Amino acid sequence: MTATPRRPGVLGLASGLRHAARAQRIELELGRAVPGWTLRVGLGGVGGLLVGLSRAADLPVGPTQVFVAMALVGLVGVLCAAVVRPGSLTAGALVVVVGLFEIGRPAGFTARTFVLILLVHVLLRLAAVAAQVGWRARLEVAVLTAQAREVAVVQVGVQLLALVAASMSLVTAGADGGGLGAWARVGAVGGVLALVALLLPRTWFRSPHPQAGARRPPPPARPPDPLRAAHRP
Amino acid sequence: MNEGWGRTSSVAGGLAAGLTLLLVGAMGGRPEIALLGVAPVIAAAWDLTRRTGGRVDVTLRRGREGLPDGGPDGVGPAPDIETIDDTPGDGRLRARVHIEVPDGTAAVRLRVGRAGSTTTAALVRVDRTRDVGVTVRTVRTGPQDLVRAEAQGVGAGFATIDDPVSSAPREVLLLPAARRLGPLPLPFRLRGLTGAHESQRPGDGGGLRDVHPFVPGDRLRRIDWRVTARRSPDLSELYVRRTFALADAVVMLVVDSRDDVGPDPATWSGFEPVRPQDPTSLDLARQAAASIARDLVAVGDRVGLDDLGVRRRPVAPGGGRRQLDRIVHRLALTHPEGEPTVRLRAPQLPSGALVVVFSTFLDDAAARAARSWRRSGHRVVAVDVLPRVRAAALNQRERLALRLVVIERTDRLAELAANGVELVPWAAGDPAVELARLARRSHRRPGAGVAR
Repeated sequence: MTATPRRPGVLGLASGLRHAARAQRIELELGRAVPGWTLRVGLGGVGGLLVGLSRAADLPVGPTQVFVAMALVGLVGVLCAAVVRPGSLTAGALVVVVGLFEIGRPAGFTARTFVLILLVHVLLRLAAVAAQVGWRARLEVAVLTAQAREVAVVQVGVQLLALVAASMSLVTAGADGGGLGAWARVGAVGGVLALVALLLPRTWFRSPHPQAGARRPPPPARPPDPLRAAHRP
Repeated sequence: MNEGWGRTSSVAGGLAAGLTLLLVGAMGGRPEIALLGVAPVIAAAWDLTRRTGGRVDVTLRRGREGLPDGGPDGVGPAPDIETIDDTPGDGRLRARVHIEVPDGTAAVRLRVGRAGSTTTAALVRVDRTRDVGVTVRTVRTGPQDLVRAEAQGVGAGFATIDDPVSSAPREVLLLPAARRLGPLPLPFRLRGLTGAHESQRPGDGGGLRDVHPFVPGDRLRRIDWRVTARRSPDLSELYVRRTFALADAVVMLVVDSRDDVGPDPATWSGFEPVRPQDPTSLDLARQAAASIARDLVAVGDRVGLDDLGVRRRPVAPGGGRRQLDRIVHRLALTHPEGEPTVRLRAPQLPSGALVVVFSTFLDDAAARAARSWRRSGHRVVAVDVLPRVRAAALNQRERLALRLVVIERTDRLAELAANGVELVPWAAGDPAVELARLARRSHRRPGAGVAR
C-alpha cells in the first residue's frame, strides 16, 4: 500500500480542486451561450451609464456637497444592489431615483432624454433576465436576442412618441413660454391614475411573486431502491 | 393564466417604476420625465397580456439507443445500460433532457444535477420542444442514477414564471471499461484440442514436435520427403513430421465484492461517503476483471466469473463475445450485498483453471480462499485492487489504525506470496507490466505442465 504522492502547498491544493471539479463536471450542450456574470456586468454597465447621465452627476459643488456625495453613494449602492439581487425591486428603485433627479434639470428635450428613455427600458429588462440567471449559470444568446427584439419593438414606438412630444414642446415653448397647462396636467394625472387602477390591481395584489432562487418545498422522498439498499460504504 | 404561472417581481418593479415616473412627470408638467416611464409600462402591459398556457414538461432520455431491454441470459432484469467511453477517471455518461414548453414561453431555466456533482444551470431558449445534451464525467461504474433535471418555464418578457418541474428519476448501469493489457499468464494446465496456446500433446495446429518413422495411423500428407530422402535414400523407411496440438486456457475471475472502499481510510468505516471523484476498490476490480476477460476472450480462452461476497451461481467458463458481455454485465451488477456470509471453504472451481482473485485483502477471507486454490494445484494470481491510500488528512488515531491495518495486510500479502500466489497491484503500479512478467514466466517453457 502506498500513499498518493501529493504536490505540497497551494499548487497541490489547486491541482486537487481542479481534479475534483473536472471529475464532477456536468456539461450541457447549449447553443451559443455566455456566462451569467457577464449579464450582471452588462447590467452594472447600463446602470452606471444611467447614473452618469442623470442629474446626480452634475449637481453643483458647494455647501450641499455632502448631500451630493451622499446621493451619489446612495445611487451607486442601489445600483450595486440591483446587480447583486436583480430579482428585487432595486432596479425599479434606481430608475425612479434617476427620474426624480431629473426634476432639478431644466425642462425640455435633449438627446440625453432619448438615451435615458432607452437606458431605463434596457436596464429593467436586463434586470428581469438577470433575475433568472445565477452568476455561474449559462445563458443562451438566443434568449438575449429575443428580448432585444422585444425591447426594440417597444422602443421604436416610445422614441417616436418622444419625438412628437419634443416637437410639441418646441411649438408650445414658442407660443407661451413652455410647460404644460394646468388642465393638461390634471388630465395627465388623471390618465396615469386610471392606468394605475387598470394595471396594478390585476398584476400586483393577486398572488405572491415567486422569486428566483427562493426556497422551495423539498421534493417528495423517493421510494427505497432494493438494489441499492444494501450496505455500501 | 394556468395554475403554476406566477408574476415575477421584476415586472412588478418595472411597472411600479414606470407608473411612478409617469405620475411624477404628469404632476410636474414634465413630459420628458413622464416619457421615461412609458416604455416600462407599455412593455409590462404587453408582457402581461401574452399569457402562457399549459405546463413545462421535462423527461430524461439516454444518450445511447439500440441496446437490449433485458440483460444477458442468467443475469436477470437490468436497468438501462450505458457504457462509459474511456477508462475510469475520465468516463463520460451521456443523456438528453427533453423539454416541452407551451406557446409563449420565452426561456426555460434548466438545472441539471447528480448525486455528488455540482449542479449546472442554464437559461435556454425552447421553441415548443428541444433536446439538451448532457455529458457527465464520472469515475464510478455499476448501477447509479443518471441525472436529475429541473425545468422552470419563463413567460414572455420574463413577466411570469412557472413552478419548477422535475424529471422522473432514471437509473443506468455503467459497464466497466476495459483497459488495454499485454500478454497474460496462463494456467499450469491447458485444456482441449483447439485454442490459441500450444500444448505438449501431439496433434495438429502447433509447432514441430519431432520427426518420427511412419507408423500405421499417420497421415500420408505428414510425410516429410526431404528427411526421408536424406535418411532413407532407398525409401525403405518413411518419416513424418509430428506437431503439437493447440489448447485453450480456462480462467476463473473471482471478485471479492464484500469491500467497496475508497482511497480515504476515514471513509472505510462506512459512515462517511466516498468522494464522487474517487474510484473505489470495486470500480478498480470491475475494470481489472473486465480488462483481463476481454483480452482472454479475444484469444479464444474460456473465462468464468464468481463472486466471493455472495452465494450465487457463478458464470461458467465459456468463450465468445456473448460470454464477454455476460461477464461484464455481471461485473457491473456486482456490489456489496448486506452482511457478507462466512464461507467455510473456497468456492469450487474447474480443475486446472487459472484463478484470478480481485480483492483488497483487508481481511483474511480472500487470502484464505486464494491459498486453498493454490494448494489444490491451481495457478492463482491475486490482483490487489485497493486504491492508492490518501492518508494526508487523517488524524493521529486514524493514522495509528491505518498503520495496524497496513501491517496486517502486508503480512497477509507476504504469506500469499510465500504460498505461491502471484501478486499484481492494480492501483499502485503498472498492472500490464506485472501481468506481462507473469506471462513470461509461464511462457518461457512452452507446454510445461500441459496435460497429456
